[in-house]
Amino acid sequence: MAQFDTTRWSVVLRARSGTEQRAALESLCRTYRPPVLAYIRSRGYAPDTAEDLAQAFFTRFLELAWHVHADPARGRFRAFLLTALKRFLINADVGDQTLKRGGGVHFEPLLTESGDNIRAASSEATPEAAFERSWAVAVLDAALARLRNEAEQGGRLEWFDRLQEFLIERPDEDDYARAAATLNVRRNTLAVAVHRLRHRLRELVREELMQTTNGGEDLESEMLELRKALGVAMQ
Amino acid sequence: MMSSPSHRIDRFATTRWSVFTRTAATAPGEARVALAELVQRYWYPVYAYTRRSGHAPAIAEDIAHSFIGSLTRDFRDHRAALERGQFRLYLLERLEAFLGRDWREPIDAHNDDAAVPAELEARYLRDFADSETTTPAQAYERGFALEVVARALRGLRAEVQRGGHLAMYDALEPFLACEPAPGELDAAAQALSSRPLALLVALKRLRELAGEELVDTVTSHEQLRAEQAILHTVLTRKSQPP
Repeated sequence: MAQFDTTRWSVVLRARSGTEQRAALESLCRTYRPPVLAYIRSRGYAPDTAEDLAQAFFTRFLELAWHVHADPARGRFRAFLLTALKRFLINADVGDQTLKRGGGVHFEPLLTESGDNIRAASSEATPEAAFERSWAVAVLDAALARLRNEAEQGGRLEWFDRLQEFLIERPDEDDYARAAATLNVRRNTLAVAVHRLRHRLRELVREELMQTTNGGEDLESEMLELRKALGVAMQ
Repeated sequence: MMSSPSHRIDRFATTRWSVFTRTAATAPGEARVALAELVQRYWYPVYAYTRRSGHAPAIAEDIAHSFIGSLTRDFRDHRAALERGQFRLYLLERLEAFLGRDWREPIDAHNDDAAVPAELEARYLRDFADSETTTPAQAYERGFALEVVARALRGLRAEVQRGGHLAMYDALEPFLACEPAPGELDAAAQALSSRPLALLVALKRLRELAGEELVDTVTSHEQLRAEQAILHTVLTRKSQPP
């Protein structure tokens, strides 16, 4: 089976209906709720209204199976979701939609969903930029959550918690010296661990992006967009 | 006088890289000495790789130091890397394998006694100032080529110093990778109050020295030709505007 045949977006595009497809789509919608919320907030809606609209959007998205209109040849979930959201907001009768909650799946904010992510993204120049920025952070959050889980399973949670900040910002020599003293290791031991941790994070980010593309050029293009949005974290 | 085929075979049989590849499985002590000598010469491409990976200078140096220490400690499972051929490819493969290991594995904390070469960062800033889009692997390739050139230039410098023609050294560096344009060598000779033929001879010697540097990193004529082609490609790219 090819590498991309089992990604969540590929499953959605291939099956179009069924339990497996529904689970894959719900999982994608759950992970990428923050960029939808950031886009709506950036359009000027109040926080409560934006929450209601996001919920209504996902409910419609799933109940009315909008994904069946996706073109498998243009295989990015990110682009499809944004286009669907724009259409939804154009057509939405806000007074009506805000009352229509539920009806299927309710997407509670994830525990890992950062309010900072949405607030920071909402300050971008355009709603599209807010969506892209928040999307990038959601991808990174998902990869970091998996990395933390791996650390826990490998008995390295203390290291992960101490070094996580090194993944996002570029630390200087003093930061390394302090962390090495805390973990009671030599600085060069720590430096190698940080490099390997970053390497693994990039692998997990790539795997996460694979879940939302159909592979090939789409994946590389998504990686490029993410590097632009996240800078140091993806170097 | 042309060298005989048997002479040429002997030449490659005793290179550092040949000694290492021949003895890695059977005589680790001898292999370690040969590898350590080679690795010590090629710190710079390793540093260029780690630096281009986004680390601060001291941290990049730490990582390079750890890698070089680990490389010469245990190389018994390096068969796949050895099959790649030349030392340049072996070193890159081992570096990427070292850096790509599971971060949760314990890291060997030996006191590495390999001396760190001077001016790594100064060279990096000079050579990679305009290389924002260069990948770490590309930085390694360029660093390797520039190290070969630097060592050849040091050899030439020592030779011309003995002959009292030190100024010639500076004049020749730009012509190592590219043939001089018509008139360029004449102009350089005039500026040095020398003859174009003398510069041409010195340039030939510089290229020979670069070739001699590469010989220690290969095991055959074919590999040497491949390395010379790569060197030329990398240096030509370097001399072109970005």
